[in-house]
Amino acid sequence: MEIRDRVYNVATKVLDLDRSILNEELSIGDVRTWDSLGQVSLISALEKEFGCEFDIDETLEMESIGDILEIIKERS
Amino acid sequence: MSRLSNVISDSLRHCPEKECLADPLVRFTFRELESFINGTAQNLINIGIRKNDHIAVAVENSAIYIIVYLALLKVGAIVVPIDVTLNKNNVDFIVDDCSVKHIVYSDFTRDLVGKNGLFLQDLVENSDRTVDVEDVAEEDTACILYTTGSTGFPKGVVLRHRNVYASLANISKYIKYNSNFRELVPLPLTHSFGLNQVLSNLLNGGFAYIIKGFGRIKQILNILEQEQMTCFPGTPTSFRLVMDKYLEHFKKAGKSLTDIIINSSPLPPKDASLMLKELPNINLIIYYGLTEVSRSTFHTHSLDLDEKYLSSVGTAAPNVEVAIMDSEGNHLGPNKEGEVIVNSGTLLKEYWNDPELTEKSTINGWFRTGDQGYLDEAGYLFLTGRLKDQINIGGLKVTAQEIIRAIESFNEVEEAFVFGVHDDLNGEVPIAFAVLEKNITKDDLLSRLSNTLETFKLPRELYFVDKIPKSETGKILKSKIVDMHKKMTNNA
Repeated sequence: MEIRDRVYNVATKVLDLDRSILNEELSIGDVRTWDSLGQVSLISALEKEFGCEFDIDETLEMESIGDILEIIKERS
Repeated sequence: MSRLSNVISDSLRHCPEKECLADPLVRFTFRELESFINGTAQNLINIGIRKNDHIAVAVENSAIYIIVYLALLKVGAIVVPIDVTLNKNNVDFIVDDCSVKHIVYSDFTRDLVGKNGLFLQDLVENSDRTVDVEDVAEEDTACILYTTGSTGFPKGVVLRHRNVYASLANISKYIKYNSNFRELVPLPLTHSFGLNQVLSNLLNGGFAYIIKGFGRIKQILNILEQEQMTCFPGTPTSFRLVMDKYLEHFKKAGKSLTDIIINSSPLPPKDASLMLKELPNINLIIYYGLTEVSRSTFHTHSLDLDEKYLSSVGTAAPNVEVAIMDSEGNHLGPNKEGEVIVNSGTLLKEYWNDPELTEKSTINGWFRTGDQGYLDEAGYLFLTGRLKDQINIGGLKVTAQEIIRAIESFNEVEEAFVFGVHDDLNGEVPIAFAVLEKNITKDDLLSRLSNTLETFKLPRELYFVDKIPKSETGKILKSKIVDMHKKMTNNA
């Protein structure tokens, strides 16, 4: 499965979102469930999905779906 | 002069060209802010908004929110803030309950609004002309704040101009707001915590920078550093996140900070202790208050005080009286537990459309908070739980808070919640939910609890969960936890 699909699956589940609203511009604060606690849960779930641990500076950069995709692709 | 609509008058006279309000998109001096308040107020008058009209504001955190809020107050309208995270059903409930005439909305909240919406961009405008408005008195209603609460339907808390002004005066006096204050406000402006932080700066010549929440840590760190912020309010959960994951970044970015203000839920003693050790040069200020009686006590934590005061919510705020009452209405002396009651200029006018609740909520002019606690000899208030959270186990009583404190005292536990459920044998028994920081088995935790709690107080069921459901303002949502428990027991 493509990285994008895997990230979208995780985001949909953790943030309780409809797949149809997901896009790369979607950012923290754009939806009710993506607040600070949602961000912590999302990062934790992504680490589990991709079998990695993001460092603090990477997590600071993860403000949108696009940011997340970029960081994960760089790691791959 | 305690009309909320005049909150920037003094600052406008003394420092009109000083920056006072900003968000990531715009910045205003006091003169510019006044100009936008006037222009927006004129637009509101032109479309027929009049004194005492109920106008809902469903707009996300922004400087423009403050402009609309103050413009509505200038016209004498009554502001009904709508939390933008509410679902449409709850918004509709508030609009109907409060007989809202119009809802001001933005692009972000378009879906929440049915008919009678006023689009924000059509209203906000600057003008150098003064606005001809009806007189607004301090006894007039300024706003109706619907409390999120943790159970049941929201209640509309009706506040006069002088009630909110009294709260600002108390905050200003305790925290010593002045024109050097620069405050980053990530809290929802639809609740009194966030809104009064902004207004306290405007009242005292300070500067408030508004953002849309605590989610973007990078944005927060950048603003703290670049804007040289001196004050930063938040919830215990937000600060725990920062302390756990971004402490060194926060220390670097927050070099200008002198005050951190924490509320919305109790700050656990171990969190307070850690913050005091890691941020020794910052005043760590907490307060206790309800929407109905805002900012009733204040406390500045200190390692110089006895450790027991890490559990206190402080002493009565300036111009406020706090007392403890027994079930018969008698005031109790030091170290006697009872209901916390408050006498203050911040006291609500009434609950909207609920004279019965309004009458029950006060006794001889004192507001009944529904919280249980005691005052020590020095007047420090210690909260021991909600009266409604008392669990009656076959006649033996315990507060949920006592059990929560015991569970949270273990390093393995990040957070806990306890409530009573019906039991055929005992009437009621305690159930606990806990979020773990480190691994521990249920048996170990219960075994260690038995060293601190009497047997009857031990939770009969214990669940480990990833998180405890909370509202946007950090309040634990008991009804959601009760639902979680029902699902767990049905699936068992």
